Amino acid sequence: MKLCRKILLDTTTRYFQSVFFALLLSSSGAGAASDESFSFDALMAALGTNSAFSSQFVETRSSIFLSKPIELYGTIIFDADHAMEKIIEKPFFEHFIINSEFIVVHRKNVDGKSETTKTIQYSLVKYPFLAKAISGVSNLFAGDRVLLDELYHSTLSGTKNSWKLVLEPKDVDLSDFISSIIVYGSTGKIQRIHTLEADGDESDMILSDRKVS
Amino acid sequence: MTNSRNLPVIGICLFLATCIFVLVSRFSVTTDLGLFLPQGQSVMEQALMSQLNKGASSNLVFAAISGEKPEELAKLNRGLTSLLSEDKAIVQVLNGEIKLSESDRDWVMNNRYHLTPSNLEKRFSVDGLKSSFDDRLRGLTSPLASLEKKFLTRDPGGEILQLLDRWQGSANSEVPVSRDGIWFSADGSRSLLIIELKSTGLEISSRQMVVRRIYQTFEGLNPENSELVLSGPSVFSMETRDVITSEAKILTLVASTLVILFLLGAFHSVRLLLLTLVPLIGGVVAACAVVILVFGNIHGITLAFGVTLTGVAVDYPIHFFSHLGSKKYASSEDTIRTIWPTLRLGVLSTIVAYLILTLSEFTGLQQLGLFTVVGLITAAAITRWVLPRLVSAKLITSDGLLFIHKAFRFCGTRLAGKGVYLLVVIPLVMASVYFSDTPLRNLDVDSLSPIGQERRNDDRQIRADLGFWYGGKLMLVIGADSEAALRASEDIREKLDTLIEQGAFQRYDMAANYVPSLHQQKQQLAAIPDEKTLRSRVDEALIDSPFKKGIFEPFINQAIAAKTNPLLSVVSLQNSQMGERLKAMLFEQDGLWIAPILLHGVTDEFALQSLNQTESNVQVIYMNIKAEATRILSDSIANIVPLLLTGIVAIYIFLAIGFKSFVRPIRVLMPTFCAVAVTLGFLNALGISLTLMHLVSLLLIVGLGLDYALFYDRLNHNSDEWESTFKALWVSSITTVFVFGILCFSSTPPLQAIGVTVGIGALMCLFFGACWTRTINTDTT
Repeated sequence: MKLCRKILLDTTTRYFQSVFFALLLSSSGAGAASDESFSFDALMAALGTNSAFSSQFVETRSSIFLSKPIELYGTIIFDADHAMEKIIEKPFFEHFIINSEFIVVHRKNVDGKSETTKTIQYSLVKYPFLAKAISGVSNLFAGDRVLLDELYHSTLSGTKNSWKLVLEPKDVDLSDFISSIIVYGSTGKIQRIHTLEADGDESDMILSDRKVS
Repeated sequence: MTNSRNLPVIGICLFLATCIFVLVSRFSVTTDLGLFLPQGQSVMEQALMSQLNKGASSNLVFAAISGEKPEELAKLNRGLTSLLSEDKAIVQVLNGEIKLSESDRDWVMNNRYHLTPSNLEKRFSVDGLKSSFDDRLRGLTSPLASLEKKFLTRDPGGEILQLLDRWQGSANSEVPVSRDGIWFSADGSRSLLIIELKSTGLEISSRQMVVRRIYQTFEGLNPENSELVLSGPSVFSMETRDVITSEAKILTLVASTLVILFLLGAFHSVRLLLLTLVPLIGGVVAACAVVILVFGNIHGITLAFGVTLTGVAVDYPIHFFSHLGSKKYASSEDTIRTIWPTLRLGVLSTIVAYLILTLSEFTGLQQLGLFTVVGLITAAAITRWVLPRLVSAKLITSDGLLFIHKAFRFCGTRLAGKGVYLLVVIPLVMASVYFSDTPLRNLDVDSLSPIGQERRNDDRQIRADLGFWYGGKLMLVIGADSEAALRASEDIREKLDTLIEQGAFQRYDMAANYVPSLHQQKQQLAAIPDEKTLRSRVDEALIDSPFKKGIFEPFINQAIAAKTNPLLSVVSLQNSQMGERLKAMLFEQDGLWIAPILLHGVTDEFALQSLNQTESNVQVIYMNIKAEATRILSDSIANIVPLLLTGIVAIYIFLAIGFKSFVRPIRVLMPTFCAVAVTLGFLNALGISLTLMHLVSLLLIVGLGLDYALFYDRLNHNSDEWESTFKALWVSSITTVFVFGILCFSSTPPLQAIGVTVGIGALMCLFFGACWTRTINTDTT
């Protein structure tokens, strides 16, 4: 019973979220006529300026393994060297440092009163698809079109102030586990990244409170 | 009369024919360097050393590419890897990751609960399950989610990934460093790869071909400034063989050219020159045959050194021919009969000196001792009984190389009788050796290795870069059976971990890390609850969890199935690829099972020794192989000292009986003693510490010194043959200096040691021999 209510609540939240975004899109869509010239290159250029940033995020992760989506809260940091940090603060603490070669995970377990931290390093060499996915994201953040074109077919729609970029993998390694990534934003600011995975899992990440660093 | 003269000749010919037959049918040369290392006190140590050398890494070639920027090196590395992967004699080339085969991965996955080091009792408790599920949830929300999903439903505890990390070598080592997927040394200056050669059906020679192909393939990539360095057992055996053969060729060529020119100058006869070689060749043939009959094979080094040591045999015909030239004797038979007693004493006393070698603990030296003894006896016999039938006095000229003869005579006459004064030199030499900064002896076993220091450093460097154990320090766990050895290894693990924390060493590798004891496996499987309990625990752990109900069904089923899977014994693995990996880490030797624990980065040997234990069915011993080998080496040298003293006494008695005098032998032994002492002083002044090979060479000097001294001694008693005797002496000593002096230029440390020592020693023998002569006949032409 409790569970049912939870699911209901969750679905409602998600519904409102999408309505909110739809509104957001349509409202900014009003200005579409004024800057039709917003091209993929212009978007990349806009993303490329002041590309180092930090943002708060809310990520809704749904999976075939989970009975209900799980919401994660935290901060994402992208620095000038194209290294990313993702810090999950709620519902648990987890800190990822991601560059082109490694993913380092700092994990904090609060087990009763004691707190244990564990650091694990994964070499991306062993997982080429992961390396590609990660370099795809960092190139998107940095506004670097070359590699993005290599990995994805991209379709840009909307206006400068409210654009939608659909990325569909060209690369076989990637398409095995990513169906598409839909990115929403306004000029050089990415607001939402919605990833659809090949097995039906989804990640919907909404970014806010962006600070240029 | 004729018959009795012919008998020895017939006997010698028959003997040589038999020897040739033996050589043709059974000739086999080994290059196993172990023969020239001291034999371990126990069979165990020997077995261990050979297992470790021949075991898991014997098929591996370690490679490092250096000299360029990392990107360039990585490119070369990739190029080399892809070309070599096509070679049929190569199993695989690893340059960035050790990967298990599909079947091995399946094996690890299917037996994960048998193999895991995790505490399964805890893992299968409600709390343990909760924490596993929590870890999986975190994984699922991480950037690594796609990896998590692979094993999520069947292995929430994460055993599979942990085990694969362990088997693939990435779990316990920080090296090698990976750059763009390619292995590098920590500083990025060397790009690394491991090449695994086929283990079966590959002869040593074809293995060497593969090593050569690796170099050629690299050259084919136009590496310009970069350099490829290879190491590993196959590479070293190729190099040793190459260096020894190529040097043997060049040095033999140079030495024989010099000797031939010199002897031609001295005797003016091609026939005599050729005959000079007859005793030597006969001696070598006989020596080879006898060594093979006794030992089953002959070591390459024995052959090379033996031929050199038997080189003294060239002196025998030289003595004979020089005397033949004096025209004093009616026939060649007369000549040989006159000098035979001296020659015989020389041969016998030299043999006494060399017999000491056969009593040493080195199989290689035993072979060498037997080789020289047989070689010299045969050569002497040929000189005595065969040569006189082949030459006549007419052949000989006495005035060959007259200017050298005059120069030597000039010096010789001035030195004669000065021996006693020169005794003063001896204490001075001794004092200088004593007070010198150069240590007298070098007992480092590495000094015996034909592989140079530089190459050994290369090997050490590459292995360290790759995180491979590079020898030396280990714990030996010895048990009555494999189970006992494994259990003892498991028991000691905790103590080892504590020592790592205390900084006594860095890390270890043991068989039990890969295949736990049956006892441990049983305990682990017993920790998995029955199906009903497990289901209820899983349900309890999943309360409040976002995971769907029932998704861990594969986990439950596989865990329950594992409970009844057969235990993994070493025997059951023996023929599998996994078993192949374990061969060097757990093996049977003389009914006992040995599980070496390989230690990395040892800094506190004392702490590790404290773990030694001896119980009824288990023994744990800390071992530093090199220190152990050095200890054995110094013990065997210590054993040689009394042998040497016995040898000297034996030679004295020999001579005393031969001369029927107590004083005359001293006159013969004195120059030899002085020559050895001064040679020692020279070596020390050159900054050379004596290795075993120098000591062996000093023995050869004893042989030479005795031979010369005996002929010098003849001068005292037969002054009328001064010219011919003296000529024989300088001709043979110069020949010796040519033959051995050339070895100074060898790059193989043991050969070089012999060259330097004998080169100096032969001249010293000539010098001191002259000093100790008493009367000089000045009535010369």
